[in-house]
Amino acid sequence: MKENRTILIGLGLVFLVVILVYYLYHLERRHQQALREAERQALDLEASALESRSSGELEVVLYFYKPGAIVPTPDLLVPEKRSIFQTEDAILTARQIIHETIKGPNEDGLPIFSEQAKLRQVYLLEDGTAVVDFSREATHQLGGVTAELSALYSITRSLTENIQEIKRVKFLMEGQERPSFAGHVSIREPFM
Amino acid sequence: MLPNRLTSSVAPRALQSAICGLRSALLSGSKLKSPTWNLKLGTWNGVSWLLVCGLWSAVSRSAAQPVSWSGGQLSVVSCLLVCCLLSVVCCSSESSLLHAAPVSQQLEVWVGQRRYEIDSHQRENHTYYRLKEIAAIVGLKLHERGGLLTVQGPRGRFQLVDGRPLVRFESEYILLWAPVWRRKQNDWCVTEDFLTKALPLVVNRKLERLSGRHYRLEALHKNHVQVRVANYSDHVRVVFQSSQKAPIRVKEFDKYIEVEFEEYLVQPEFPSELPDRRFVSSVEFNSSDVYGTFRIHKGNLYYNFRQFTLSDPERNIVDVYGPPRAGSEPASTEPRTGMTFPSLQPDSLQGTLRPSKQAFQNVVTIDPGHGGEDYGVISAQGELEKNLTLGIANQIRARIAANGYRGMLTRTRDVELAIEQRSSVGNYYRSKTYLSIHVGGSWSPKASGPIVYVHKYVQLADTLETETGVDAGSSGRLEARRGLFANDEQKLVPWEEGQRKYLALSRELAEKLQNELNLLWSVDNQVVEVPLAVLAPITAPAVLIEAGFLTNPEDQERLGLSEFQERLAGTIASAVLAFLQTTGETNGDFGLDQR
Ligand SMILES: [Zn+2]
Repeated sequence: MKENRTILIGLGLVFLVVILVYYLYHLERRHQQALREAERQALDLEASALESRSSGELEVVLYFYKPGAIVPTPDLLVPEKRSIFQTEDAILTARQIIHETIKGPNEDGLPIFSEQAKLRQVYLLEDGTAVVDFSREATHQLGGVTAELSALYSITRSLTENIQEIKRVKFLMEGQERPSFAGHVSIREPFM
Repeated sequence: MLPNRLTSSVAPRALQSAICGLRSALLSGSKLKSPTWNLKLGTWNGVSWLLVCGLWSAVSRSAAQPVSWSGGQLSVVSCLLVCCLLSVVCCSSESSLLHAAPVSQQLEVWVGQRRYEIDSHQRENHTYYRLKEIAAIVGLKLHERGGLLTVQGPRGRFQLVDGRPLVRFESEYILLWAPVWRRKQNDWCVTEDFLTKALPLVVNRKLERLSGRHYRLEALHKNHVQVRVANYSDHVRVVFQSSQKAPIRVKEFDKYIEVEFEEYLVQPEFPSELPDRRFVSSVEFNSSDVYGTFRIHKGNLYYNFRQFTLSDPERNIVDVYGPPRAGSEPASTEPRTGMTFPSLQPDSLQGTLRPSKQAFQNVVTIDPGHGGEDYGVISAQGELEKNLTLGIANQIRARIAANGYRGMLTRTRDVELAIEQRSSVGNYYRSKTYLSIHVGGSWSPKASGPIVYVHKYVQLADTLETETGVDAGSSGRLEARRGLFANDEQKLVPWEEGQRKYLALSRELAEKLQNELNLLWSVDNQVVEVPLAVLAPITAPAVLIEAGFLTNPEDQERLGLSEFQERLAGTIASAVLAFLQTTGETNGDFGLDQR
């Protein structure tokens, strides 16, 4: 009798704890969802702000990973055409190009960045250097020199080829100069 | 009878206290945290109350009288019931809180202990805030001219244009969520992201986002710093006594010693007595920095200085010394120029810090890539690059040690190292060669086989010459960059230029390694030149080896076999040893003899 009772009380407590843990997990997940939603909205807002002011569409060439490419040279990328909003502002165009590259390919190329990658800011210096500031998430899944280099080459090529003002690209991480992008390739000097 | 008492007394009490705990936590919990955070706290509180009550009732009951089966059963049932009720209460209050949040869209800004509220205005689905109110709190000056608003802050200014979602700061644009809205003359509105994106650029205070629409502007209290000077026969003592406990930084420059108090705005108070001009010519305060700095200008007999703190009350003390008495140290009689490192007496270095010559002979540094939180490439089966590289590096070291060389690992455990740390191990031991061991990863699973990388300097020299023309400034910078090409071997080499002199040898080593590894894999891969952060500073032949691709199923399977790992390590070690033998004869030592 007595044993039965303690077992039952114990079971009750375990049940309680399970419910509690599940509930906290649920709260946390909701919180994360809300954060992601807010981020997505910010991007949508940027797009809609652009839409309202753009004077038409602009076709740009993005670069994605070439399936089967082994040796990391600038040729390991495949071009893909995409249309974005036309603006007279080089920085807005650059932002759109990078956002589109993060979204991934629609054709037969492979993605360059993971989906969590985030662009922080783009600046344009007078000498034609575009300063592109990525958040730390941009380096997720960029293990290996090839993957890291393809990301840097892709952004550099699409920016310099699509936007006349941009001659070279300097990369920052979380607003800071870092010795390396994702652990291998040096980003001390601008890419061109 | 028992079940009746149980349900009538314990369960309601438990429920009541649980709800009480929840509510008290919700109401009293810090308003600055998010509602979710408050809810979590409340839930914890409530549930812990419930547990305490349940346990207490069970204990008291079993102590008072013998228990019946139905009593035990009922206590569990009531437990579950209360539990369900609790989760219902939690969920309903959570949803009401979460839904209630968007209704009040006020911005809340805390400055020190004061709380300011900024009302929101709706326009075309966006929530705007009046810039005037923000400016009043933060301390900005607004100046409208035509359709252009100039916002002047303590550190700089930016401009807004009506109807554009942009803030112009110097030559850059910052994009806002929605166009800037000019409600009427001298009344402009911006969206919330203005606070985080633009404001920190011109304010010299820290803006922190607490949660949701709550921000805190870190108030900078004033720090009254009293300076006193005492003259002694061989030194001048400068005492800084501050009213706030603030971290201090002391830096030495050519002409002066800079003392910087952080965190608070410095309010200086100067001494009445004058310092001995031989050692300290003057003490000045420079308010152009964020917090303000003191400068102790050196006198013409300045020799060195010492900085320390005394407590009760806390004082920062800088002792400025003249030259030591004649005879004690002959070197000191000659005038010292340029940067000095006074706390390090040159003589004390010898014998203690310098390791024996042997420690530097025949060292090969091996750098196992990644480590700690940095996993490197992760295979489909969950294998981590950081573990593979450490295993391979250990085996290479063993093979090299068997042939009379010392293998140095940059890491021997699973720890994360900064890139500079990895390189500096190699340079510290004056390595004969440097190997960075990695395993590749690619977006394409087809990519396979080994690739040996050598460093490539991005065409810096060419760009400077062709792009900007050879004006004095750029060619001077160029010269500085190329400092190492000068005949003078004593010239200091910039850290990231270390590899430049060894590029050809690195290439030779890389070709050797690539050929051997290609045989092992029976593929035909080529050596690749890439700007690599870890190799750039190395003052020795250096390569980065990616031994196969962890993202390729066949490579991954091979790399998992210990037999293959041994062959791989053997191949790398023998190629390196062969390289060392051939170059050792023709090129002499790369290392010790030059220093
Ligand atoms: Zn790696």
